[in-house]
Amino acid sequence: MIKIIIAQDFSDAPGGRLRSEGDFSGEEFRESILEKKFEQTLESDDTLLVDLDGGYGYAPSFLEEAFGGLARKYGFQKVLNYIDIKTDDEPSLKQEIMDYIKNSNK
Amino acid sequence: MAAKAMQKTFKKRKKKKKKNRNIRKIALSYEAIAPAVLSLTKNTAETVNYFSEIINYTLNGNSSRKEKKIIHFDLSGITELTIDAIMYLIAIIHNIKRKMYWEYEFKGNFPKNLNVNKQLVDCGFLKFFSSDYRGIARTKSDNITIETGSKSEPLIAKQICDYVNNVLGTQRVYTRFLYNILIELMTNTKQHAYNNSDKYFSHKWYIFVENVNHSIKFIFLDIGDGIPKTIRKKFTEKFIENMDKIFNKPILSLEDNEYILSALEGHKRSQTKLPYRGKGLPKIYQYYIDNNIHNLKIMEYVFGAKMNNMMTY
Repeated sequence: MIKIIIAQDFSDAPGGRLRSEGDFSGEEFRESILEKKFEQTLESDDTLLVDLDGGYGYAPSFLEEAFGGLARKYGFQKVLNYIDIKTDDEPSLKQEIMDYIKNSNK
Repeated sequence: MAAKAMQKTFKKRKKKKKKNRNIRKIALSYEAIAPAVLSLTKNTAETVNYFSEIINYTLNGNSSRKEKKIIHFDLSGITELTIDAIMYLIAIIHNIKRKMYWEYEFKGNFPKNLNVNKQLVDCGFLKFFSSDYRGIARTKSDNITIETGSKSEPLIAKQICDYVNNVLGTQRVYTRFLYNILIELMTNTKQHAYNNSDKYFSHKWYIFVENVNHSIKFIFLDIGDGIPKTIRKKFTEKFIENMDKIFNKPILSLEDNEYILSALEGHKRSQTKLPYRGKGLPKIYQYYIDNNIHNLKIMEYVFGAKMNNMMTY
């Protein structure tokens, strides 16, 4: 299993949606970490586990740009098949992210 | 001898003349006397009028680069103050300075009332201006001073969450919703608040946090165009608004508070027109519905206009 712990690998205080809006944006996370790990996952036919625990919080814009943006690039079904979310600190976040992936083009 | 003496005098006079050419005229031009109760929430009409008069004075072209004018803020008579008004004052001065740096100079005095004076110092007002103030020093007051920024600032959001958890004795997980709200408000200001504004506007937001009897109060503001003007409107809504303007009589247009509620309820009001955008305001509203936050007030003030254009929600 390929793993990303956002609070350690990126930031425990993520920002908004776009790079132009400030530091540690969803766009920056997706382009610098998430997409690369997702491609590794596709090549090895593995599962990508994204751990959201330990952070100060995740603005909806950040999550939608990161995960919705990933689905817009690779297709929502592929992302749903290969990605898993760990979020014990805030369990409702998992469904929220799944909704962003499913509704990425709506 | 006499000719030489005359030459010296002539040279002296010439030098004096050269010196004077470099001095710009500076004249005390506007005395902005603050009302006794300076507060947008407790004394809305008088406070809005106070700021409107300052803004109108600067917009009416009363100064020039050749004749710099001084605006003197007389705060001496304030007996009651709320920080929302001070934040607006800072924001207005920032914008005047940005647009008309060479034309205006700002001076002021402090409230004579000691409690109000302390309040002004403790909220961090002085860090925005250079001052030779020698009055009450900032005590270890139980709040975070006014902070400002023009983008999303995760470090400030982090600092505020740490402060809240420290005061309430809670863990970081407890303030996740608060962190999300702060980031969304900051990015909304960056992306949307100043879309239709003068390019010289300082596109900043301001935030203040205080502990009021173990209940944390937040004030977040920007002086952008207001939510009703920056959200996306349907074709029929724009058509009706234009008709109402032609007949100078608002009949069928939605009220501004209806537009704000529509944006909060997630009715696809993002200016980007992208279907997956516009998540921030509905999330903040959901936190309010779920009782994570209480007493949510969204207030819009129209400055530089008559009082009947002011709206609060």
